[in-house]
Amino acid sequence: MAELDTPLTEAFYYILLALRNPNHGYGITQEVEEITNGRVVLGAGTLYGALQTLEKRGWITVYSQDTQSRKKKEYMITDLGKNAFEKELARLNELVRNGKMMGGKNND
Amino acid sequence: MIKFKLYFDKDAETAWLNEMCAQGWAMQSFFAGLYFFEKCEPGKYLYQVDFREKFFRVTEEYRELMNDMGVTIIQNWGYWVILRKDAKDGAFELYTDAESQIEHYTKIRNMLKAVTILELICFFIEVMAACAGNAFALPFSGVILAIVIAMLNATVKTNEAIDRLKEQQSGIPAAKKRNISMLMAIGLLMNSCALIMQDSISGYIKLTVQIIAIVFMLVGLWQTCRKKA
Repeated sequence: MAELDTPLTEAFYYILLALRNPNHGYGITQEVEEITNGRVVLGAGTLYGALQTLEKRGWITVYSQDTQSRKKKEYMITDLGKNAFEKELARLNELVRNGKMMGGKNND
Repeated sequence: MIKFKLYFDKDAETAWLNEMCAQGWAMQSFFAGLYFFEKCEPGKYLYQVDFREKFFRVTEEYRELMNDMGVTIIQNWGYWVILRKDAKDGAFELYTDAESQIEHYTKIRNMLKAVTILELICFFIEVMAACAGNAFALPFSGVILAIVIAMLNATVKTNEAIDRLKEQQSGIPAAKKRNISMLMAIGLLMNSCALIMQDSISGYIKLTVQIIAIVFMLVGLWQTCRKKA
């Protein structure tokens, strides 16, 4: 599989984060909205496209599929996805660390 | 209630469906330009129109996810899917970031371009048939020409939507980039080509090329004026 060099979009980043535990479509949007205090809202189309792409990349996988009763497909992050996420987190940490050089009121 | 409308712009269609629902008419199904409405509590639902790459088919996964998100698939027609959600569940947007919006509109534009080219080929054939004396071909080519114009317009509008999104992403206003529509230039070029080659090509081909050129120029002129206004 080709290496992906571009930074993750917010949607991809938060979807991966929400899939650290098995989760279904609506659950993902709920969690993302909650942890970002309603700043990141995922539309159904955006979520569907992202899930398709992530699954094709092998970053997430279908965790369970209850075909009998209520059909709620759950996804979960894979090791490959975790690696990609870690890499992105390291990149973001570097950005924040270096960003402190600017010295602003958001510095802790 | 049944209404007949032909939409070439999905944003206008979405706005209309939501407007109808606000007035107490919920769209229930669609067939070849006919929208079927049923009475509903005003503003009970929110509508959205999605574009899928598969013709008259949505995947099981798409169906499941929409179901999970509380979204009902009302109608799948061609590449289009009309979706609806209960208004009490909050706002209904399909694409919520610039990346996915650009992707969405780019897919639509590519489809519009392909259909426009296909229609132009059909138009060419119809005009040739009309010149050869087929009585049905003339009104038919008029209809195809109307579709071509609508398609060109929709393509230009979709392009503008993509430009606006890219502007948002880059933070650089691109509006002043070009004020004159490309279509006008292409039309002029085609017309002059037809004039230059006047003697070496047959009259039918020249006539069709010139009609298409005029259409391009007119649509281009219209779009240019619209931009200026």
